Amino acid sequence: MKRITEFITAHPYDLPVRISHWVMAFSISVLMITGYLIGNPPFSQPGDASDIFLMGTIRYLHFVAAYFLTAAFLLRLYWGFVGSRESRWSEMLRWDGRFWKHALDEILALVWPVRPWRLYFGHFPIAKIAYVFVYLAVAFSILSGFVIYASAQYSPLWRFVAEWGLKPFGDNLNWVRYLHHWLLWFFAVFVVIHVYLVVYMAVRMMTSEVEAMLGGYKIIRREDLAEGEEVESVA
Amino acid sequence: MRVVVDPITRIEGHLRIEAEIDNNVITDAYSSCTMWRGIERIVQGRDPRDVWAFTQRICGVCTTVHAFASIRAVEDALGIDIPPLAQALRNLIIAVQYIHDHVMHFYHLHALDWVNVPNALKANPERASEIARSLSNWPNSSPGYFKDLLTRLKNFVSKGRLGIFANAYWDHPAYKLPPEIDLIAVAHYLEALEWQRHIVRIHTFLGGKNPHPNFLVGGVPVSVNLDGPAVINAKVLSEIKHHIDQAVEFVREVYVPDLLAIASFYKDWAKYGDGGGNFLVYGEFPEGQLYDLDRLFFPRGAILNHDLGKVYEVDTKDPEQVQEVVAHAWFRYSVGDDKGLHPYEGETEPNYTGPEPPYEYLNTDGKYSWLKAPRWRGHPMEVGPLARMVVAYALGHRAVRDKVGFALKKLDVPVEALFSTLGRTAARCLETWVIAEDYLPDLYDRIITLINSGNTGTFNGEKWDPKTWPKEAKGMGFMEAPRGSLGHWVRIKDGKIENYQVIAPTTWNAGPRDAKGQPGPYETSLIGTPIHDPKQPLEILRTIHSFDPCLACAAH
Amino acid sequence: MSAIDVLEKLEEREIEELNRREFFKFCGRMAVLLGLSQTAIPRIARAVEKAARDGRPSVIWLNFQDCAGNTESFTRATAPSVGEALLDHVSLDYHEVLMAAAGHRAEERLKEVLKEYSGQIIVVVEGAIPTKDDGIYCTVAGRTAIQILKEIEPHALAFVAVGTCAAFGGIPKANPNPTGAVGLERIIRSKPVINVPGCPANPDVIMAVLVHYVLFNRLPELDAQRRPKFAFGKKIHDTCERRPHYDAGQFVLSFDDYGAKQGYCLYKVGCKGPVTYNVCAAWRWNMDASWPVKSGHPCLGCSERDFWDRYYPFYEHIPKTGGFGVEARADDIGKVALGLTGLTVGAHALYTAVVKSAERFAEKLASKAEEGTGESEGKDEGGEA
Ligand code: HEM
Ligand code: HEM
Ligand code: NFV
Ligand code: SF4
Ligand code: SF4
Ligand code: F3S
Ligand SMILES: [Mg+2]
Repeated sequence: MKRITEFITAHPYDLPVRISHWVMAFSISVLMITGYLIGNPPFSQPGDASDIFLMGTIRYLHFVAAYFLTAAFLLRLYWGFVGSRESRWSEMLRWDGRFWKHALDEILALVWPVRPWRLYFGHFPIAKIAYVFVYLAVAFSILSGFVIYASAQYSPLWRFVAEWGLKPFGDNLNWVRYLHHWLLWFFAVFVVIHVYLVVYMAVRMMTSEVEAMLGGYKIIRREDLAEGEEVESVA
Repeated sequence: MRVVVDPITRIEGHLRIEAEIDNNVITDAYSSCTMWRGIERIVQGRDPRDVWAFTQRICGVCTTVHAFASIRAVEDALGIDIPPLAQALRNLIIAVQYIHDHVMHFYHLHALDWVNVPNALKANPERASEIARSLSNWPNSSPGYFKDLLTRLKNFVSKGRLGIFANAYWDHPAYKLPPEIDLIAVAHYLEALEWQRHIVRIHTFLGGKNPHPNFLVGGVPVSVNLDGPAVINAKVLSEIKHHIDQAVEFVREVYVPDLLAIASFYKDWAKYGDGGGNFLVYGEFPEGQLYDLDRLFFPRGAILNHDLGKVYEVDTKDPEQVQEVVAHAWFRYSVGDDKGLHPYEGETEPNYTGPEPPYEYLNTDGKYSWLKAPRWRGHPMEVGPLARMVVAYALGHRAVRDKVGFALKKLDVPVEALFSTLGRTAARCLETWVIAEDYLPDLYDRIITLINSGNTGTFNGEKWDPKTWPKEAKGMGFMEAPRGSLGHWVRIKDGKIENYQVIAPTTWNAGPRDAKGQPGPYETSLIGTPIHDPKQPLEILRTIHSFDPCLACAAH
Repeated sequence: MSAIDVLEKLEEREIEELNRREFFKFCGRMAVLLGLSQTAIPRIARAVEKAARDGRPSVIWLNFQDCAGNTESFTRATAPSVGEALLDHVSLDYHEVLMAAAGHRAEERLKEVLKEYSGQIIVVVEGAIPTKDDGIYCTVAGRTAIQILKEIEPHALAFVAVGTCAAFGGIPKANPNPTGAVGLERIIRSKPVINVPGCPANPDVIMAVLVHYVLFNRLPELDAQRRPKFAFGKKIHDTCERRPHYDAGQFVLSFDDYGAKQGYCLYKVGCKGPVTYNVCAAWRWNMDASWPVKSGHPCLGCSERDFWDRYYPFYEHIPKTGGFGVEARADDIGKVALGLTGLTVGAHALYTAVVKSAERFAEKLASKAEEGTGESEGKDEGGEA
């Protein structure tokens, strides 16, 4: 006798979360590439410096992407207080006993793929941890980036940012630059793991996480739902 | 009675002299350096290519020399040869450093021991002009010039604010110059202050600034491109030439005549200030690579006990020759403080045992200085211009023999007069004269010839990458700094500084006693000097200043 | 007295006519720096002349854990030159490197000055201050630097920390800081401290700070690091003459290469101009002769706090990190980390695929066996709780 499969439609990611995610994903990609080039500039052909503006253009792109990233981040920050339950910081940071049990579950399922894979209305548990660090890193890159940026701007406001923004870094601009630079590699490693896991889930579980991030909805088989996930958030 | 002079002023750094005086004669003396930073420790673990910048900050007066000794040590350790133009440009920097440093020492640090500023106010400007014109062709010598200066000085003094000239030993009877010569010297004090700003521009062209110009392991940081707008081109070369001419003229027309004129009033100072008669010179101005020792313009060698008949060979890498002792220095050796250590094995472990400040006297029976006591084959050695002139003279260096001979004749004193306060001060001037006339112009021509022949490379980058270095290496960079022989000994391991030891000229001269109780040259030079008034120990200043102390160098 | 009068008065003095011209150039520069219009030049000149006529402010200069590089630098000042400054602008009442008096006489002089000008003295400090072991690493006349400073502090109008050592601790403070060296701001609490960093400080900046006081009878405006804004408001990189090459992406890759001969940007050989505030590029050194970057060497960032440790290494854009076998740059390590991550996820993907197909194979076998027994129940992946 076949069991009836019950499907649940979840709506974990509000529009602002989705917009901010894709703007961030795009701008961080641009920032990584342009940032890498700023730190390791490609040697250009000899010629009259006034005709070429290669480095200038790269930096320009970096700054444009930086503004997009900042906007997206601020939007996400705000939405974490007012948005749907799954997009709230309270949920993101709810690292209680059940959460750790789920995290262990997830790890075991990765280590031993024969184990069943559980699904959630919102983020996967390990991913939550990663996102918290990603957001910290984003905040830090924005902070350090704007301190460096301000150091080359000479209006009173920017001078203020440059002078006082340097204080937490021990009044040491080069230190800020080093930290800003090293961040690149944090993002690079994160993106590889992140995209892999997203694709992995899609293939292994045929989940619709990506669609959820794109269109907002995902469809979950009730029996795949992790133990204790509350049903009331079902859309 | 014990007389303390602390601070010894008009020197670089923190020097304290304690002298025992009996019947108005110094019977014993102690030289103490009272500041230490630990730069030998600070460079440990750093990249050998960067270390010149650290060691350079040992001193901002002889601001180039520790950078040179450092890059030479690293180049020696890693086997880096530098292009001929780089060597010539480095020599240019060194030559300018000598001239700048010696002139400033004479006028701004030493002169006030002999020149009485208030006494200059009594001068007759016409008479001063006459004397000045009889001494040299220097253009600033009109009666009007001296009159204006006198007015300016009187103006300055009349406000009762003597600034840096206040409260000196101006009533001391040992000041002997006529007011006109005092006035001329004051004029040149101010002119030299002005002049020096110009000639250091040569360092600025080549190193970007002075004090503390930039250097580079493997060459020099500047590039030559006669058609380039940004680097060394004809404009820069002609400015350099202009300043060389200015330097040569000032030495020839101002410094040398002033020295000879002033010295002729103080010939009694040829009796005092003998530093012991041992002289050490590492050699300077390499014509080829650094270790082509027989191609050094100032030759290497050592002299013991005033004996000009024998010049000993010097090997700075021989563990038996150069050693440092910490018996009376505020340091500790793992092998025991009575042993000497060659700098390759050197240790820098501070161990202050002196009195708790504020204090009145040091305990001179124990440790009493931040300087180690360097010894050559166990002997305390004097280094510096006098050592260089004496060794070159003994080896028959033509230019040195000519100029030293000229001065001895002019002052009508025997060769032995060199071993004194007066001799030391004169040797510095004569050395400057030799460099200005017999070295610098030729050097400039050589630079132009090299550039003309297409030899424009200034950097050898073959061993720039640490991957090309051996796992372990050691090297020694020597140089003749203006104040004397300077050595940096470096050990490199896994691309990093493992041990770094510096012995500076003033360490040799100002160092304390060793384990056997042998005093250093400063200490020796003071013994036997009469002190007219222990409350105004001008005599101590004269002799100590004749060495041109630099304590930041000495202690590092 | 009108400006014309001043000019005439000045022209009368045949001494060092050139210096007069330099002097006016200086006044002009002061005007620009201080944000005044060119019409202020005669006023500035007059103020300087006035200071020369009546009381010059008392300046005392103390040397501690220093190399005298800032003293030397001070003597290279352009307008006024140090000779003019000493005779006409300030009364340098104590400076061990230059003063005639020595020993007890020097100490005596210091005491007199402290008494006579108490509250009006500008105290210039050169060199760091050692704090370890009760400060015994630097004493003058038997007293430690700290003891001397504490004695002088009540009498000072303000302190000027010249050079990176006095301002931030500088080289004595570099790792491992053997003597516990600190900058002046850590010692002086009750009086203003003006930081004039640089190793050494630029002569014209030192002079301008003093002259600022002579001119306006007040101290210059300072930024958050207590540096005078007129000198430390811009970065080297933003005033650098090689900047067009930076924007074009034209770099010196190795000393004396093609780019070096063309005067390309020194970023890739470690230039710290992008992170350094100083006047070098704008004012240059030694009467416009040059400045470090112009002469082909990357800026070391010598006016920045802790540059010996944190603007390090000098010839690399990003530091090498020890402990990775051969020295590796942060970017090399990053690339390796990235590569390893890639390999790990690749391996995991493969691993999952293998385990999964093995599972499917086992299922197939099992279901074949089931068919044999005739029992049939739909089995779902993850069916057991
Ligand atoms: C994920 C985010 C980011 C990454 C991975 C990143 C990466 C980088 C890297 C690697 C550099 C080169 C640093 C060097 O080696 O000198 C750099 C430079 C810079 N970044 Fe970012 N960055 C990010 C975000 C930002 C943001 C939000 C700002 C804000 C304005 C910013 C502003 C700058 C500035 C001003 C520079 C210096 C460029 C110059 O003046 O030449 N960055 N970035
Ligand atoms: C620079 C690149 C990227 C960054 C920095 C990034 C960052 C993030 C962050 C911070 C979240 C959490 C969202 C939130 O609740 O705030 C997230 C979720 C997600 N991202 Fe990305 N992302 C990147 C690229 C991508 C790409 C290329 C994909 C698709 C292939 C993707 C798919 C997803 C999905 C499906 C989720 C939801 C996963 C979950 O519920 O745990 N991301 N990402
Ligand atoms: N002693 C010493 Fe120096 C010199 N010349 C050097 O090594 O002065 Ni500052
Ligand atoms: S800041 Fe530099 S120049 Fe000034 S005292 Fe320190 S080491 Fe010397
Ligand atoms: S040389 Fe240095 S300061 Fe000048 S543009 Fe290049 S990086 Fe900037
Ligand atoms: S090293 Fe220093 S002197 Fe200027 S160019 Fe850089 S701040
Ligand atoms: Mg030493």
